Amino acid sequence: MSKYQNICDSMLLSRFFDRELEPDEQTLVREHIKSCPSCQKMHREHQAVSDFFRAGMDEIVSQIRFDSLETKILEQIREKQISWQTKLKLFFLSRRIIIPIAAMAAMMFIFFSLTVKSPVSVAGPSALITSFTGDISSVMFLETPESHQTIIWFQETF
Amino acid sequence: MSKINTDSWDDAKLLSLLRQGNEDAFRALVQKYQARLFRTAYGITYNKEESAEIVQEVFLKVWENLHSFREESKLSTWLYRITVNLCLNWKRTWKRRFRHYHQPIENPDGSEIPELTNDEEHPESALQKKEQEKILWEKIGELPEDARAILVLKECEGLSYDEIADLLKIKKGTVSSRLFYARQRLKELLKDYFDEKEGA
Repeated sequence: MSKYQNICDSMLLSRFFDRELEPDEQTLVREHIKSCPSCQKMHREHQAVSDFFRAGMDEIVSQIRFDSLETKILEQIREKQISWQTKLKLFFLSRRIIIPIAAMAAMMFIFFSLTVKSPVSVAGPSALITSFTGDISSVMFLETPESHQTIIWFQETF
Repeated sequence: MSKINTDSWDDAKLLSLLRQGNEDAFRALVQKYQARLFRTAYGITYNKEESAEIVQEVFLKVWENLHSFREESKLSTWLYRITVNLCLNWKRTWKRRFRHYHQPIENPDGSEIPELTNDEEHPESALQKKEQEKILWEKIGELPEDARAILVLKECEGLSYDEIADLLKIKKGTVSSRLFYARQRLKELLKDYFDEKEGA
Protein backbone atom coordinates (compact mmCIF):
# COMPACT_ATOMS: atom_id res chain seq x y z
CA MET A 1 0.00 0.00 0.00
CA SER A 2 2.93 2.30 0.66
CA LYS A 3 3.68 2.44 -3.07
CA TYR A 4 0.68 4.68 -3.70
CA GLN A 5 -0.23 7.56 -1.45
CA ASN A 6 -3.71 7.67 -2.90
CA ILE A 7 -4.88 4.45 -4.44
CA CYS A 8 -8.25 5.98 -5.33
CA ASP A 9 -6.69 7.54 -8.39
CA SER A 10 -8.62 7.45 -11.66
CA MET A 11 -5.43 7.33 -13.74
CA LEU A 12 -4.24 4.32 -11.76
CA LEU A 13 -7.64 2.69 -12.14
CA SER A 14 -7.51 3.29 -15.87
CA ARG A 15 -4.21 1.41 -16.06
CA PHE A 16 -5.62 -1.31 -13.80
CA PHE A 17 -8.62 -1.62 -16.11
CA ASP A 18 -6.27 -2.07 -19.08
CA ARG A 19 -4.15 -4.62 -17.16
CA GLU A 20 -1.13 -2.39 -17.63
CA LEU A 21 0.06 -2.52 -14.01
CA GLU A 22 2.69 -4.88 -12.70
CA PRO A 23 1.17 -8.13 -11.35
CA ASP A 24 1.67 -7.10 -7.71
CA GLU A 25 0.16 -3.66 -8.37
CA GLN A 26 -2.71 -5.27 -10.21
CA THR A 27 -3.46 -7.45 -7.16
CA LEU A 28 -3.12 -4.48 -4.83
CA VAL A 29 -5.62 -2.37 -6.74
CA ARG A 30 -8.02 -5.31 -7.17
CA GLU A 31 -8.05 -5.88 -3.42
CA HIS A 32 -8.55 -2.18 -2.80
CA ILE A 33 -11.53 -1.95 -5.16
CA LYS A 34 -13.30 -4.72 -3.24
CA SER A 35 -13.50 -2.49 -0.20
CA CYS A 36 -13.77 0.98 -1.77
CA PRO A 37 -17.21 2.10 -3.00
CA SER A 38 -15.84 5.15 -4.84
CA CYS A 39 -13.37 3.04 -6.83
CA GLN A 40 -16.06 0.46 -7.48
CA LYS A 41 -18.19 3.24 -8.99
CA MET A 42 -15.26 4.47 -11.11
CA HIS A 43 -14.60 0.93 -12.27
CA ARG A 44 -18.27 0.40 -13.17
CA GLU A 45 -18.31 3.66 -15.16
CA HIS A 46 -15.15 2.62 -16.88
CA GLN A 47 -16.70 -0.68 -17.86
CA ALA A 48 -19.91 1.00 -19.04
CA VAL A 49 -18.03 3.47 -21.25
CA SER A 50 -15.98 0.67 -22.68
CA ASP A 51 -19.05 -1.48 -23.37
CA PHE A 52 -20.91 1.40 -24.98
CA PHE A 53 -18.01 2.24 -27.27
CA ARG A 54 -17.35 -1.37 -28.24
CA ALA A 55 -21.00 -2.14 -28.86
CA GLY A 56 -21.35 0.92 -31.09
CA MET A 57 -18.26 0.03 -33.09
CA ASP A 58 -19.33 -3.60 -33.40
CA GLU A 59 -22.70 -2.46 -34.66
CA ILE A 60 -21.08 -0.34 -37.35
CA VAL A 61 -18.81 -3.19 -38.39
CA SER A 62 -21.76 -5.59 -38.56
CA GLN A 63 -23.37 -3.35 -41.18
CA ILE A 64 -20.46 -3.72 -43.56
CA ARG A 65 -20.52 -6.39 -46.25
CA PHE A 66 -16.99 -7.63 -45.94
CA ASP A 67 -17.48 -10.22 -48.68
CA SER A 68 -17.86 -7.50 -51.25
CA LEU A 69 -14.99 -5.53 -49.75
CA GLU A 70 -12.80 -8.61 -50.05
CA THR A 71 -13.88 -9.08 -53.67
CA LYS A 72 -13.02 -5.46 -54.45
CA ILE A 73 -9.59 -5.78 -52.85
CA LEU A 74 -8.81 -8.97 -54.75
CA GLU A 75 -10.02 -7.42 -58.02
CA GLN A 76 -7.69 -4.48 -57.50
CA ILE A 77 -4.79 -6.81 -56.82
CA ARG A 78 -5.55 -8.83 -59.95
CA GLU A 79 -5.79 -5.63 -61.99
CA LYS A 80 -2.36 -4.65 -60.75
CA GLN A 81 -1.05 -8.10 -61.55
CA ILE A 82 -2.58 -7.91 -65.04
CA SER A 83 -1.10 -4.52 -65.74
CA TRP A 84 2.29 -5.82 -64.64
CA GLN A 85 1.92 -8.89 -66.85
CA THR A 86 0.81 -6.67 -69.73
CA LYS A 87 3.90 -4.56 -69.32
CA LEU A 88 6.00 -7.69 -69.33
CA LYS A 89 4.24 -8.94 -72.47
CA LEU A 90 4.78 -5.62 -74.21
CA PHE A 91 8.43 -5.80 -73.32
CA PHE A 92 8.81 -9.24 -74.83
CA LEU A 93 6.63 -8.28 -77.80
CA SER A 94 8.87 -5.30 -78.52
CA ARG A 95 11.88 -7.55 -78.27
CA ARG A 96 10.24 -9.86 -80.80
CA ILE A 97 10.01 -6.97 -83.27
CA ILE A 98 13.24 -5.16 -82.50
CA ILE A 99 15.48 -8.22 -82.71
CA PRO A 100 14.46 -9.21 -86.30
CA ILE A 101 14.75 -5.59 -87.44
CA ALA A 102 18.23 -5.31 -85.95
CA ALA A 103 19.24 -8.64 -87.51
CA MET A 104 17.93 -7.55 -90.91
CA ALA A 105 19.85 -4.24 -90.68
CA ALA A 106 23.03 -6.09 -89.75
CA MET A 107 22.66 -8.49 -92.67
CA MET A 108 22.06 -5.61 -95.11
CA PHE A 109 25.15 -3.83 -93.82
CA ILE A 110 27.29 -6.93 -94.28
CA PHE A 111 25.84 -7.59 -97.74
CA PHE A 112 26.46 -4.06 -99.04
CA SER A 113 29.87 -3.75 -97.50
CA LEU A 114 30.95 -6.95 -99.30
CA THR A 115 29.33 -6.35 -102.69
CA VAL A 116 29.90 -2.64 -103.33
CA LYS A 117 33.32 -2.10 -105.02
CA SER A 118 35.88 -0.05 -103.21
CA PRO A 119 36.60 3.37 -104.77
CA VAL A 120 39.28 3.57 -107.50
CA SER A 121 41.36 6.09 -105.69
CA VAL A 122 42.28 5.77 -102.10
CA ALA A 123 42.22 8.84 -100.03
CA GLY A 124 45.62 9.90 -98.77
CA PRO A 125 48.35 12.48 -99.21
CA SER A 126 49.37 13.17 -102.81
CA ALA A 127 52.97 13.46 -103.89
CA LEU A 128 54.26 16.73 -105.31
CA ILE A 129 56.10 16.10 -108.57
CA THR A 130 57.11 19.58 -109.49
CA SER A 131 56.01 23.19 -109.35
CA PHE A 132 56.62 26.46 -111.21
CA THR A 133 56.13 29.98 -110.02
CA GLY A 134 56.14 32.78 -112.58
CA ASP A 135 55.27 36.50 -112.60
CA ILE A 136 51.62 35.96 -113.34
CA SER A 137 50.86 32.44 -112.11
CA SER A 138 51.96 29.36 -110.18
CA VAL A 139 51.53 25.72 -111.31
CA MET A 140 51.91 22.51 -109.30
CA PHE A 141 51.89 18.91 -110.56
CA LEU A 142 50.81 16.35 -108.03
CA GLU A 143 50.30 12.60 -108.18
CA THR A 144 47.80 10.57 -106.16
CA PRO A 145 49.13 7.50 -104.35
CA GLU A 146 48.32 3.97 -105.66
CA SER A 147 46.14 5.12 -108.61
CA HIS A 148 48.94 7.50 -109.78
CA GLN A 149 46.60 10.11 -111.23
CA THR A 150 48.07 13.53 -111.99
CA ILE A 151 46.57 16.69 -110.59
CA ILE A 152 47.50 20.05 -112.07
CA TRP A 153 46.99 22.93 -109.71
CA PHE A 154 47.09 26.45 -111.22
CA GLN A 155 46.83 29.81 -109.51
CA GLU A 156 47.20 33.32 -110.90
CA THR A 157 49.46 35.41 -108.70
CA PHE A 158 48.56 38.98 -109.75
CA MET B 1 -16.21 -15.83 -51.10
CA SER B 2 -15.23 -19.07 -49.41
CA LYS B 3 -13.33 -18.93 -46.15
CA ILE B 4 -9.69 -19.90 -46.23
CA ASN B 5 -8.66 -22.25 -43.46
CA THR B 6 -5.68 -20.63 -41.84
CA ASP B 7 -5.67 -22.50 -38.54
CA SER B 8 -2.19 -23.85 -39.11
CA TRP B 9 -0.83 -20.55 -40.42
CA ASP B 10 1.01 -18.25 -38.08
CA ASP B 11 2.23 -14.82 -39.23
CA ALA B 12 5.58 -16.23 -40.40
CA LYS B 13 3.92 -18.89 -42.54
CA LEU B 14 1.42 -16.37 -43.89
CA LEU B 15 4.21 -13.94 -44.77
CA SER B 16 6.24 -16.60 -46.49
CA LEU B 17 3.25 -17.64 -48.61
CA LEU B 18 2.41 -14.02 -49.35
CA ARG B 19 5.93 -13.39 -50.57
CA GLN B 20 5.59 -16.34 -52.94
CA GLY B 21 2.57 -14.54 -54.44
CA ASN B 22 0.09 -17.10 -53.08
CA GLU B 23 -3.39 -15.67 -53.66
CA ASP B 24 -5.02 -17.86 -51.02
CA ALA B 25 -2.62 -16.43 -48.46
CA PHE B 26 -3.59 -12.93 -49.52
CA ARG B 27 -7.26 -13.80 -49.21
CA ALA B 28 -6.58 -15.24 -45.76
CA LEU B 29 -4.85 -12.00 -44.78
CA VAL B 30 -7.80 -9.94 -46.02
CA GLN B 31 -10.31 -12.18 -44.24
CA LYS B 32 -8.35 -12.08 -41.01
CA TYR B 33 -7.79 -8.34 -40.84
CA GLN B 34 -10.35 -6.44 -42.91
CA ALA B 35 -12.94 -6.05 -40.14
CA ARG B 36 -10.32 -5.06 -37.58
CA LEU B 37 -8.75 -2.51 -39.91
CA PHE B 38 -12.15 -1.18 -40.87
CA ARG B 39 -13.05 -0.68 -37.22
CA THR B 40 -9.77 1.14 -36.60
CA ALA B 41 -10.26 3.31 -39.68
CA TYR B 42 -13.83 4.06 -38.74
CA GLY B 43 -12.80 5.00 -35.22
CA ILE B 44 -10.58 7.70 -36.69
CA THR B 45 -12.43 8.87 -39.79
CA TYR B 46 -16.00 8.36 -38.60
CA ASN B 47 -16.97 7.71 -42.19
CA LYS B 48 -17.91 4.28 -43.51
CA GLU B 49 -17.18 4.82 -47.19
CA GLU B 50 -13.81 6.41 -46.53
CA SER B 51 -12.95 3.66 -44.06
CA ALA B 52 -13.75 0.99 -46.64
CA GLU B 53 -11.55 2.80 -49.18
CA ILE B 54 -8.76 3.11 -46.65
CA VAL B 55 -8.92 -0.62 -45.90
CA GLN B 56 -8.63 -1.36 -49.63
CA GLU B 57 -5.66 0.95 -49.86
CA VAL B 58 -4.00 -0.69 -46.87
CA PHE B 59 -4.14 -4.10 -48.52
CA LEU B 60 -2.84 -2.69 -51.81
CA LYS B 61 0.07 -1.13 -49.97
CA VAL B 62 0.74 -4.38 -48.16
CA TRP B 63 0.72 -6.29 -51.44
CA GLU B 64 3.08 -3.79 -53.05
CA ASN B 65 5.47 -3.54 -50.10
CA LEU B 66 5.55 -7.11 -48.83
CA HIS B 67 9.15 -7.55 -49.86
CA SER B 68 10.27 -4.44 -48.01
CA PHE B 69 8.58 -5.49 -44.74
CA ARG B 70 11.53 -6.31 -42.49
CA GLU B 71 9.55 -8.01 -39.72
CA GLU B 72 10.85 -5.63 -37.05
CA SER B 73 7.28 -5.48 -35.79
CA LYS B 74 4.38 -7.92 -35.91
CA LEU B 75 2.43 -8.22 -39.14
CA SER B 76 -0.69 -6.93 -37.38
CA THR B 77 1.20 -3.90 -36.02
CA TRP B 78 2.41 -3.11 -39.54
CA LEU B 79 -1.15 -3.31 -40.85
CA TYR B 80 -2.53 -1.11 -38.07
CA ARG B 81 0.29 1.39 -38.63
CA ILE B 82 -0.48 1.72 -42.33
CA THR B 83 -4.18 2.09 -41.50
CA VAL B 84 -3.65 4.78 -38.88
CA ASN B 85 -1.24 6.72 -41.10
CA LEU B 86 -3.63 6.61 -44.04
CA CYS B 87 -6.49 7.71 -41.81
CA LEU B 88 -4.56 10.61 -40.34
CA ASN B 89 -3.39 11.68 -43.82
CA TRP B 90 -6.94 11.38 -45.05
CA LYS B 91 -8.08 13.53 -42.15
CA ARG B 92 -5.51 16.20 -43.01
CA THR B 93 -6.63 16.24 -46.64
CA TRP B 94 -10.19 16.34 -45.50
CA LYS B 95 -9.58 19.29 -43.23
CA ARG B 96 -7.85 21.12 -46.06
CA ARG B 97 -11.04 20.76 -48.05
CA PHE B 98 -12.88 22.68 -45.29
CA ARG B 99 -15.23 19.84 -44.58
CA HIS B 100 -16.90 19.50 -41.22
CA TYR B 101 -15.05 17.66 -38.49
CA HIS B 102 -17.24 14.60 -38.47
CA GLN B 103 -20.07 13.03 -40.39
CA PRO B 104 -23.17 11.40 -38.94
CA ILE B 105 -23.23 7.65 -38.76
CA GLU B 106 -25.72 6.25 -41.20
CA ASN B 107 -27.40 2.89 -41.31
CA PRO B 108 -28.20 1.33 -44.69
CA ASP B 109 -31.87 2.10 -44.08
CA GLY B 110 -31.09 5.80 -43.83
CA SER B 111 -31.31 6.12 -40.06
CA GLU B 112 -28.28 7.73 -38.56
CA ILE B 113 -27.20 5.77 -35.50
CA PRO B 114 -25.81 2.41 -34.64
CA GLU B 115 -28.60 0.06 -33.64
CA LEU B 116 -28.19 -0.63 -29.95
CA THR B 117 -31.81 -1.18 -28.92
CA ASN B 118 -33.27 -4.11 -27.11
CA ASP B 119 -36.29 -5.82 -28.73
CA GLU B 120 -38.08 -6.05 -25.41
CA GLU B 121 -38.03 -2.29 -24.95
CA HIS B 122 -41.05 -0.11 -25.53
CA PRO B 123 -40.90 1.33 -29.09
CA GLU B 124 -41.16 4.90 -27.84
CA SER B 125 -38.39 4.57 -25.29
CA ALA B 126 -36.33 2.63 -27.82
CA LEU B 127 -36.68 5.52 -30.23
CA GLN B 128 -35.73 7.96 -27.52
CA LYS B 129 -32.71 5.89 -26.64
CA LYS B 130 -31.76 5.69 -30.27
CA GLU B 131 -31.94 9.44 -30.56
CA GLN B 132 -29.86 9.85 -27.43
CA GLU B 133 -27.23 7.44 -28.71
CA LYS B 134 -27.10 9.29 -31.97
CA ILE B 135 -26.21 12.48 -30.11
CA LEU B 136 -23.64 10.63 -28.02
CA TRP B 137 -21.95 9.13 -31.07
CA GLU B 138 -21.79 12.54 -32.65
CA LYS B 139 -20.15 13.83 -29.49
CA ILE B 140 -17.65 10.98 -29.47
CA GLY B 141 -16.79 12.10 -32.99
CA GLU B 142 -15.73 15.43 -31.53
CA LEU B 143 -12.90 13.83 -29.58
CA PRO B 144 -9.49 14.55 -31.13
CA GLU B 145 -8.67 11.95 -33.77
CA ASP B 146 -5.46 10.81 -32.07
CA ALA B 147 -7.42 10.17 -28.86
CA ARG B 148 -10.03 8.24 -30.83
CA ALA B 149 -7.30 6.25 -32.58
CA ILE B 150 -5.88 5.18 -29.22
CA LEU B 151 -9.35 4.47 -27.86
CA VAL B 152 -10.29 2.21 -30.75
CA LEU B 153 -6.94 0.40 -30.72
CA LYS B 154 -7.31 -0.26 -27.01
CA GLU B 155 -11.03 -0.87 -26.61
CA CYS B 156 -11.78 -2.70 -29.83
CA GLU B 157 -8.50 -4.24 -30.87
CA GLY B 158 -7.21 -4.90 -27.38
CA LEU B 159 -3.66 -3.72 -28.07
CA SER B 160 -1.35 -3.08 -25.16
CA TYR B 161 0.06 0.38 -24.35
CA ASP B 162 3.43 -0.78 -25.69
CA GLU B 163 1.92 -1.92 -28.97
CA ILE B 164 -0.03 1.32 -29.39
CA ALA B 165 3.06 3.37 -28.55
CA ASP B 166 5.11 1.44 -31.11
CA LEU B 167 2.40 1.77 -33.72
CA LEU B 168 1.84 5.49 -33.30
CA LYS B 169 5.48 6.27 -32.54
CA ILE B 170 4.65 7.95 -29.25
CA LYS B 171 5.68 7.30 -25.67
CA LYS B 172 3.88 4.74 -23.53
CA GLY B 173 3.07 7.47 -21.02
CA THR B 174 1.42 9.50 -23.79
CA VAL B 175 -0.73 6.51 -24.69
CA SER B 176 -1.77 6.17 -21.07
CA SER B 177 -2.62 9.84 -20.62
CA ARG B 178 -4.44 10.23 -23.95
CA LEU B 179 -6.47 7.13 -23.26
CA PHE B 180 -7.28 8.41 -19.82
CA TYR B 181 -8.32 11.77 -21.23
CA ALA B 182 -10.50 10.14 -23.93
CA ARG B 183 -12.25 7.97 -21.35
CA GLN B 184 -12.81 10.85 -18.98
CA ARG B 185 -14.34 12.82 -21.82
CA LEU B 186 -16.54 9.87 -22.74
CA LYS B 187 -17.64 9.47 -19.14
CA GLU B 188 -18.69 13.12 -19.07
CA LEU B 189 -20.57 12.72 -22.34
CA LEU B 190 -22.27 9.55 -21.27
CA LYS B 191 -23.00 10.56 -17.68
CA ASP B 192 -26.63 11.59 -18.18
CA TYR B 193 -27.23 8.63 -20.45
CA PHE B 194 -26.01 6.16 -17.85
CA ASP B 195 -27.78 7.93 -14.99
CA GLU B 196 -31.05 7.68 -16.90
CA LYS B 197 -30.36 4.06 -17.72
CA GLU B 198 -29.68 3.25 -14.08
CA GLY B 199 -32.79 5.16 -13.00
CA ALA B 200 -35.05 3.38 -15.50
